[in-house]
Amino acid sequence: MSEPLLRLAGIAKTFYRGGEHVTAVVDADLHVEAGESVALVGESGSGKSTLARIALGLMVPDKGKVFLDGRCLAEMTPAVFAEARTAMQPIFQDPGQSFNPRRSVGEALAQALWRAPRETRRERSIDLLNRVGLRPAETMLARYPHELSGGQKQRLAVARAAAMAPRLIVADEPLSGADVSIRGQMLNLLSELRKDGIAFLMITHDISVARAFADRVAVMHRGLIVESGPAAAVLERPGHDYTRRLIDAVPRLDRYVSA
Amino acid sequence: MSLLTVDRLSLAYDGPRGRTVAIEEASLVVGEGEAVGLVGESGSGKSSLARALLGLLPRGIGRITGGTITIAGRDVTHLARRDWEKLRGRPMAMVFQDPLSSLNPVMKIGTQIGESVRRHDRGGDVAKRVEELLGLVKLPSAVAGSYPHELSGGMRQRALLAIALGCRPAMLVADEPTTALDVTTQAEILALLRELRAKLGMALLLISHDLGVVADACDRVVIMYAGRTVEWGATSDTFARPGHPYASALLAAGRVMRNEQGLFVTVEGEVGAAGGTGCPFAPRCPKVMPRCRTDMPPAFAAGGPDHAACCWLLDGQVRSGAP
Repeated sequence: MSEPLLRLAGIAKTFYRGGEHVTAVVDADLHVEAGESVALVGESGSGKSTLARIALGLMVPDKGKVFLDGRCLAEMTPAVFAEARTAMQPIFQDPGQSFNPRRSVGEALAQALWRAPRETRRERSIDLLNRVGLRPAETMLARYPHELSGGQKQRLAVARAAAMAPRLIVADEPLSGADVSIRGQMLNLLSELRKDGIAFLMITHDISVARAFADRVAVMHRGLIVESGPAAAVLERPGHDYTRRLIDAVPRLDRYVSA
Repeated sequence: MSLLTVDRLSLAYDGPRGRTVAIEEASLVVGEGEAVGLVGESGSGKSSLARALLGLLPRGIGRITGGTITIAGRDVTHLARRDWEKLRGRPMAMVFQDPLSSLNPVMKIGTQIGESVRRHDRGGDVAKRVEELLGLVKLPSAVAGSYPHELSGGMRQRALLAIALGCRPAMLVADEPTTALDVTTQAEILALLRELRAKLGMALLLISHDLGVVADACDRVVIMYAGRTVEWGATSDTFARPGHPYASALLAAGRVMRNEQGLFVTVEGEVGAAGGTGCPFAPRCPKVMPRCRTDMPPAFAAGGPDHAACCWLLDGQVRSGAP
């Protein structure tokens, strides 16, 4: 079988905090194929955000290796590592903290488009803003992050990630701050990017989002991936006790609503 | 008799750039022992309403500009700060979203619960009552000697509930009590709330943006949009047959459904500001009519008993009447 786009093998990470060792990831294997969407679900403290940071190369694991196209991140030359970092783009939960408050929307996007010829950057920025529905795009360019609503900032985060033409987007709870009515818009936006062949590793605690968006689901509990498989199979017929508990804990809306 | 009646309440904040309307003619009733869910997205005014109910509006900034709030038969709309002190905790207590910022970080949990017990019940064995309250929220009695930072989020929320219950409230106002918690912890807290209501006969006003949480915990539901209460009724009836287009859209979006084109169901646009003319949902409404932009629709009776929605096109029929 050919090598997947992203492969995490035997990852372990322990933090030393307040005189105590806290193990965040015990021994985790995970892979994302090209163009595939994988949801990593679990409670806070399960180690899913740590795993995401390790996948992005933002954090070095104590044990284990991260491979992008079969090449180990830790063994890359700085130039190749920089390429890898471009190929994997993050979207974080709090869009308010993802932007430099002193840079306008146009400047933030121009920076993400640093590879593109200077004279095309403005035009490409306008394209991106239109694509994520931040309109009118021309006036948006001059705005500053504090002038945008939470939903608009999250759209801008998507635009910035897309600007790098990545092959993988690692999104850490990108929807949890968003209102329900906006959540659908965000999901549609991310689905658009999937049509371009961008793969996703989506960290979420929301089972319904995982069910709707992911091809495959991996369930994380206490630093271990306890179950993984096709989204429908894992969520309809959970094999692990913890997965079942997680699914049962979600308050049911459909009990009142006929399909 | 109803415990709490909010009648056409309007509320505004005075800031350096003038007045911002937060709530417009919102109405709401909570009967004894009843659980009512107040649902709305950010900016809908639900937290402002909760604060107004407990006299916690920022002084000199938050202003009630119309309507009334009645608690247990007493008009408290323009109550003086001093008089509010006597009402807080009993008959109405409150828990907030973030238990860590509601607890005193340098005081042991037992002391904080004791404080609330003493507030309304002078004399009596405080230590015994504290232990009783910890048992009620299913915390081990050793927690009395712990500081807030030593507890998990779920335990802190339980401690906060114990403090609220220390006042023997007839009604608990809970503002997003489970939003900061994991789904499994959330399920435990919701089960606890249900049990406490059954045991103590306490009424509950649960404020949440999560329709699932409200479906789980509440008998009746009130939906707010841009400062107005736009639909209310029994939870089962309202969620099965929503009358307001916003309520339908919210329910569809809440279940993460796809439409015929394979797109996720969504509500286009963003929540507008309160205080405009006409129906606040008109700019986003898929079924908007000319009248919606100029006249705010009154409440029309919808399907079930006590189920009503403010929409000129309720159940597909064009309604008439004075705005």
